[in-house]
Amino acid sequence: MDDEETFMAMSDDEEFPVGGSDDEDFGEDNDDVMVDDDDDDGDDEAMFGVEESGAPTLLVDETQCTFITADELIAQQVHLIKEISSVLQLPHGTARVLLEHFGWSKEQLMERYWTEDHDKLFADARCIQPKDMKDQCDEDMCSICGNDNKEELLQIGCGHGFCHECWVAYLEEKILSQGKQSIECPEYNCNILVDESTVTSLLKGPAHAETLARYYERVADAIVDSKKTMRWCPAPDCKFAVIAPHSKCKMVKCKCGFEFCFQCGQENHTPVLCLMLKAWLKKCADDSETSNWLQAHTKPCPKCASVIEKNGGCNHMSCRKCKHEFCWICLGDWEPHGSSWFNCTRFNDSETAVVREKVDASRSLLKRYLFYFDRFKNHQSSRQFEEKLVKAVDWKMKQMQKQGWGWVEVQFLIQAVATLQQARRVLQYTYVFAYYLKKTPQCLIFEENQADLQMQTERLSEYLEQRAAKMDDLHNLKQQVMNLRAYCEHRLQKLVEHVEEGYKVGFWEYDEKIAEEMVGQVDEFNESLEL
Amino acid sequence: MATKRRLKTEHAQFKKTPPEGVTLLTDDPTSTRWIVQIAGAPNTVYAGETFQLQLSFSDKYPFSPPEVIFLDNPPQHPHVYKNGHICLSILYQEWSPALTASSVCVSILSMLSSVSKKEWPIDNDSYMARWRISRHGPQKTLWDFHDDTV
Ligand SMILES: [Zn+2]
Ligand SMILES: [Zn+2]
Ligand SMILES: [Zn+2]
Ligand SMILES: [Zn+2]
Ligand SMILES: [Zn+2]
Ligand SMILES: [Zn+2]
Repeated sequence: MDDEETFMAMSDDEEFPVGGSDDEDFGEDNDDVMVDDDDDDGDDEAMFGVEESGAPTLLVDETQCTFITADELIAQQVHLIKEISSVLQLPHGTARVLLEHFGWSKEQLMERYWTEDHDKLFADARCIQPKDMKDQCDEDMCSICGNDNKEELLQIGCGHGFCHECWVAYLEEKILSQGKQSIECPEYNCNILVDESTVTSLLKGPAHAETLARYYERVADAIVDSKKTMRWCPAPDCKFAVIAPHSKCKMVKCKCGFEFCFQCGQENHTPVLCLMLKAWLKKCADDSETSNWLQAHTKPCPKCASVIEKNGGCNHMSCRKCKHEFCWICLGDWEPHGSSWFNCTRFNDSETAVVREKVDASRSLLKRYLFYFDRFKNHQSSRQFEEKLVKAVDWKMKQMQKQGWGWVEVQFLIQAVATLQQARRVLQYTYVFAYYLKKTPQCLIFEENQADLQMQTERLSEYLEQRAAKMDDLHNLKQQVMNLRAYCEHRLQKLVEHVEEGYKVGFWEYDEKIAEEMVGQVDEFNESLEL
Repeated sequence: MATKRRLKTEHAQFKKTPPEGVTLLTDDPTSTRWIVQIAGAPNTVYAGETFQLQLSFSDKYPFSPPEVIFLDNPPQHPHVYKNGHICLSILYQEWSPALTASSVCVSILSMLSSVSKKEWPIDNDSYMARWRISRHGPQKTLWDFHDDTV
């Protein structure tokens, strides 16, 4: 195949061909696509507009989202309450309860307020109409503690009075223990909601500051939950909620830089669908406790059997003891990998057919799972190791600037690391996707794309990890890094576009046995696969 | 403490004016575990039978509900499991601090009076099987409340 030849030519050279023009190589890739997808030539041309065409929807569109913090949300809400309160001539507390009832939509509230029966509207919103508000307590005693000092009793319009101490204890229980922000009157069978201003005035002072802060956190959570186009960024310590242009949005990038799935809240899991990922993660969690094969971090050297610990992202390993060079994934010699890269990424069906004759079906399913899990895990740990690359690259960039390079001119290094991380993440999730796939011709194309991406990713990784720091010819370094990055990005785009096309056209077939094992019902599973 | 004060008041009130068919057996007003005897109402399937309830109060009472279970031989009722756990919403999510030990016992008695046939809950066996492993108290159960009108 064209691609293999290209690669062999490169690897024979040992060094990546410097200055090999982008155009030429991309030209070859273009042919490659034609070969891959020979049943539909018309589509190929449209599909191959890699640089020009809009990014596939499974990749992140960075321009589409806006961001908001909890404090800004609360401020917006206060503004809205004030507006409604003055337009409808309602007390603040009432306006707030009504707004929340209508999902913080001013339009909805206005429309229903002018068209609906007020008795019903207020009852549904669990709120007393201003005309029905009681101005004193029904009883002369707090029905929680028996306190009969009428001066100390406080009610919220429904007439059920409780003393200050009991109110505070009640709110603390609801907010701190039950994590609620929507709190009903303490009276049994009274569903009137305690409005925000009552909560704020009851929880005044430093003694209640923490409770009040928790309350406002819950309030902000409730606002975000009520909006289909809003979601908290799941990154730890991130304060932003992401506002997407529409509720069907897929992968988004937060202001803090974290990319995540707007639908399920997991990190960006392109190209796998939410439901597969959910089933996969569940399977991993279920299996991790009982399995002892989870030793993704150490392997014995295939030659001398001394324990090798993986401490970098690259899969090209060399044993410290016997100097044997091998591939971390297949444990084969590193030497012939130039021409047999595919063996590392493919689940070799002819091989498992032999296995299947010997062992029972469940064993083979487990084997299949382990195959994909091992590779999934491997990319995941490579990604963690590669975080230290960021530091190394940062150092190199400073060195280059000292030698007179401009800030803009050295950005290519950090950009290459970003591409590497993105490629690893996508590769990681391709193993989840592949686990569910049935072997079809399209699946074979997918596996080739996966192998291509894997190859370019390892080249970029190895170069950045092992050679970049030592390179003195900086112009050469830049050229090589930029080439490697371009290849990698191109492979990434190609893989994702192919997977996405399959979702749209419907040429992916899923292994029924596995889909069933994961979700219980194949029909439901297939339905949910539709984008 | 608010819990102690309230329990003391409730205890005195319970002893002084017990609801019909309900007797507080615990004499110590400072106890946080009460035993209450309830008598099956006349003209119901439990007429002539008596049952014992145990009410345990945490220091969050009355802001969190007491744990209430039947002791020894619980009544055969579609909302009562063989281990004495009771499926009644006011004991869990619907609890209000304005409710009292006495009003809880009255609700349980009226729950008994509302059925015309002695039956265990349909999910009794699976509930018991889970409970034998977990030994969770009833407040740890995520109750899916049976039809409250039964
Ligand atoms: Zn009180
Ligand atoms: Zn009330
Ligand atoms: Zn973020
Ligand atoms: Zn998702
Ligand atoms: Zn060795
Ligand atoms: Zn290999």
